[in-house]
Amino acid sequence: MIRLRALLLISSVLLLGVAFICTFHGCASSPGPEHGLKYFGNENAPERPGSESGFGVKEDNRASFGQVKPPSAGVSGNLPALVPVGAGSGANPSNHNGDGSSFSGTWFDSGSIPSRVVNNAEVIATLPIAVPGSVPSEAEEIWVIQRFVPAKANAQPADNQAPVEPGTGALMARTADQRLVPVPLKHTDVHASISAYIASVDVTQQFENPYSEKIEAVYVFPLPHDAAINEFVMTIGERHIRGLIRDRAEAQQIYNQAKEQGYVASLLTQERPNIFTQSVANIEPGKQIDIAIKYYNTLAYVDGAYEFVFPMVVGPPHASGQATEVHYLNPAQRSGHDISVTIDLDAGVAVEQLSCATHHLVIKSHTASTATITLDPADSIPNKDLVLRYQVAGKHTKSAILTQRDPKDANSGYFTLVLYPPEDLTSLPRKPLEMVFTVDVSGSQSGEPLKQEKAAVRYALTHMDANDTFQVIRFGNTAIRRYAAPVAANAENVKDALGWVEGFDANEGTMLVDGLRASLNFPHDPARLRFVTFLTDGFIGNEAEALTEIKKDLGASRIFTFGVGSSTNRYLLDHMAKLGSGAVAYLNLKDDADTVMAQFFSRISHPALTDISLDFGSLKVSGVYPSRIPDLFAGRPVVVTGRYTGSGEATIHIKGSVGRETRDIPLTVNVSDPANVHAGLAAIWARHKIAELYDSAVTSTNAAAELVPAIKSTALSYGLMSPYTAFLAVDSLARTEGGHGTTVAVPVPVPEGVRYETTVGGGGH
Amino acid sequence: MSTENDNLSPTSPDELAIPAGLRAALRGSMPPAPVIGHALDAAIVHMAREKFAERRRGRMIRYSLFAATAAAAASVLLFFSLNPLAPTAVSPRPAAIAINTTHPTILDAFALARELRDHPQLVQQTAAYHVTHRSRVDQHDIDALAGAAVALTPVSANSEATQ
Amino acid sequence: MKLRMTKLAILVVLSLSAFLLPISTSSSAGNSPMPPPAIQFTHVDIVVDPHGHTLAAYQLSLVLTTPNAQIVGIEGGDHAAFNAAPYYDPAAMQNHKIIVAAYSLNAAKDLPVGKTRVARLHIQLPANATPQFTSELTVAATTDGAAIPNATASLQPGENP
Repeated sequence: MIRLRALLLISSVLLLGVAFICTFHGCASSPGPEHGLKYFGNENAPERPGSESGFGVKEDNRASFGQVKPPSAGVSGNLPALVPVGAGSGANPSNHNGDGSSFSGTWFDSGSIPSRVVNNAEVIATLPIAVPGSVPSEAEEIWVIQRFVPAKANAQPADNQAPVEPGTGALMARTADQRLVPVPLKHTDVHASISAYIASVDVTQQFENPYSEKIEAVYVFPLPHDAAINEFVMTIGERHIRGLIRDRAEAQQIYNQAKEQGYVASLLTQERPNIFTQSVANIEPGKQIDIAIKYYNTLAYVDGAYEFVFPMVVGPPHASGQATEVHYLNPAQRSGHDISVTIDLDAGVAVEQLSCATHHLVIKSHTASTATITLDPADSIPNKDLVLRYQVAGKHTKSAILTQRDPKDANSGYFTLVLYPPEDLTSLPRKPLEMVFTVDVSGSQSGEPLKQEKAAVRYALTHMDANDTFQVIRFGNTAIRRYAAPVAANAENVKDALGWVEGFDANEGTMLVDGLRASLNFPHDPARLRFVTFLTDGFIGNEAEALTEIKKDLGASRIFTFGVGSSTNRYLLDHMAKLGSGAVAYLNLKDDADTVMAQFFSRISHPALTDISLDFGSLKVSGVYPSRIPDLFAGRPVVVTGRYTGSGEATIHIKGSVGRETRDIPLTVNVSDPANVHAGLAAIWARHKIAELYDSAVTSTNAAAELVPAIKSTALSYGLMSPYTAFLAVDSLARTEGGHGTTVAVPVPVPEGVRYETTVGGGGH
Repeated sequence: MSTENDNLSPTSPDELAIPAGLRAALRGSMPPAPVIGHALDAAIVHMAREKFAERRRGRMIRYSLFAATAAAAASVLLFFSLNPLAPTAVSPRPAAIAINTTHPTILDAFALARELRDHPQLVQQTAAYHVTHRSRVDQHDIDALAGAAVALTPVSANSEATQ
Repeated sequence: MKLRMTKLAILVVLSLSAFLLPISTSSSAGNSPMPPPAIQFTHVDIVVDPHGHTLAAYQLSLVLTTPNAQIVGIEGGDHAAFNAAPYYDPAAMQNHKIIVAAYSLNAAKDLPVGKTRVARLHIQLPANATPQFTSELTVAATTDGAAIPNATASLQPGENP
């Protein structure tokens, strides 16, 4: 009897002990099959891995087992790494990883985690304290998970904030057996149709999963900043699923849920007006998914030629030491992703000259006014913007209108008006100038871009009028003026300035705002026209701050921007010029700086038509953008878009000032003329409206609450992308096995001419 | 007995202009000329005549057939030139298909698509088909009609909340 | 007394075990299932039956009446003639009403004559909800644009994978 009681007591105590241990320490399931991928990283990983039922759980395959190779040399230093810290067997001998190492399910105080880490891994998860004061012993092995946390990761843009920085996932370049595998983006196909000065462009991205497990591919890419994206189709095999435009937060939520549940889904979001993120979830091993995007945009007319621009790579932004958001390949690496481009040009009039300084193009067929042009396959690395220029016959100094009728209302529609300055302005004398040259010496300008900048400034300084004055400013980590006040453009001062400029070296950060303040905040001679000339690639991270600064301090200045490099931030440069009532020019690495500057001086040598207003006569118009018409310079027409009611002929009066003289230039247009009609203007108008509202919201804190709903409403009504809307497509037909896979960010090459070492490589700060 | 002889095929040595001695020798070596009776002669002539007649008949039949065919073809051509056939489905129609651009359905887009496929030239010349009022009719016009067909609400020219 | 104390101790220990074991079971790492998702994804097939006529064009309007449901994708049909995604109004999505339409210029032999799926709507809706629509077939037509008088359309929900 006594023995029975003792036996009962002992077994009860043992049972209680087991229950106690299981309750407070947790029991892990045996590890799952070893992954084909040996890497780590998922920006959607939970804040606290311990919030799952146990650390190292294989439930959703996110917490990986096994060793992860440290980041390879060419990859960004923020690459996450999964490393074992400590050594020895775990508390539970049965908890083994696929490679034989073991782990422990012990909870511990994060403050006492051993700090033997590698490759900048840092503890970001605060694990709950199970036993107060307990610390892991040396015999225990602890997994330290580093998760890349970009600024505002996964945050949705608040109504009064600028959109978030693009996020990235983990990068995978090698498999566990050291094989190099291509990245998920296999190919991009671009097909553009140009009619008059409107381009309709179809971009198809082919994503393929070369790995042995499901992945989510994330690709950050640029498009023209005025692109009106209105179509989105996801193709899986033979099936075509058209995506829908939704409120961004809503679309992101639906996408996340579809991803978590294993459905193939795609999401297109806008990070900046010219930068977008394409995410495709649950791409099964070996499968291919195509995403097709369509957009309209207006071609720029620059110095006698139309320009079709297709940007291909996002340049590395630098702002106050913030890290890059895009994974870049080092110069020795290739992603395997290439691009094909076909352009069908129908100019409507005879084409006199076709040129491309950035790529080698092949003309497949042509007539007097049409041409089919393709990109040479040998030039298919997407590391620089494609710029096609074409000149058309006839003098294009005559303003013209294009219209698009509303199919349901014959008397209303959309118009795009191109304004050219009249010829007779060229005979008028110009006022003396006060030239300010502001040169970017950040790391991204190192090499060829800086050489171009120096050449441009050299030409400008040596071709100024004797009556002009000038100032030279360099900006990198800070902004430095050469002179306390603008100096006369005499030989001695010019020589001094040239010597200073020649000594520039580009290896600093990019404090553009400092450069703006230095350029605008000094006394202005009212007898002169102040032209502030910025030479930069525009790759900064605080565009809103820069634009706000211009609005605040512009005064009587005019801002001209020169985008220097093979891939520039056209959105910022165009907007700086727009807000600064100036103009923008692009100095590609293969352009002749003297020629570009000569054109610039020719432009500013003739007075502009300023303070422009438009009287539309019998045409009733609304929603006219830009709301403030920029100055008209020779060779730089201004594009105005809006909505109209009416038909037939109307006379539009262009009113402005030339110096102290006022001018009234009549322009007769016919909105019913079939030759003037073009499809796509509705989308272009809506895009301009969204851009104007967005500019106002970015630079005005008070108006944001009203403007953001207006942006959303316009974007949703016209089915367009915007900072607050997104395209979403979900295939609910089949659910893929397992969890949602692993995120793989598509790496991109550094823009041509930009030095990897001084930008992405970390030497630029 | 017919004495027609063209001297190209003599029947006896007596008919040859040769010396008498040779004539005598040949007379001796040649068998006597056969006697061709009238009946045989007549039969041969009759056969020849029959042969000629047969050939003539054949020629006449062929000529007749050819003439008849030519006459028939001429008659058919004359008949159809005076009475042309009704036009086929692909030949130009006199009137354009009515397309509703105010409240279109997909059938209007479909109709324009068929017209553009079947009568591409006629379509360009028909004002009613210039839906987007451009200088030419193409897929954009079809898409505009289809887009209007599926649109829920018309877009008003004065519907802007902000400017 | 000693016996009673022993019995009491056993009883307490057993009670505690009985109380704690279910908790430990439920908190065992990796064994407890994740809570079911709050939303589900499914699809609805739009099927048109031209009853023996060749189907060359159709237009159909639908209203999604399930509360908190949204259309998250529009796909084309089975037959090659209607494989591309149909025309639709993007703005219609905001009102849960949609009009879809498509046509094909294929020859009659390359067009469907029987029941055929012409489009598929991918839908997100709350878990355990079923997609509910009201729909109206506006028109279905043959190759020459003639309306098919007795054509019908039906909506067939997909099975959840």
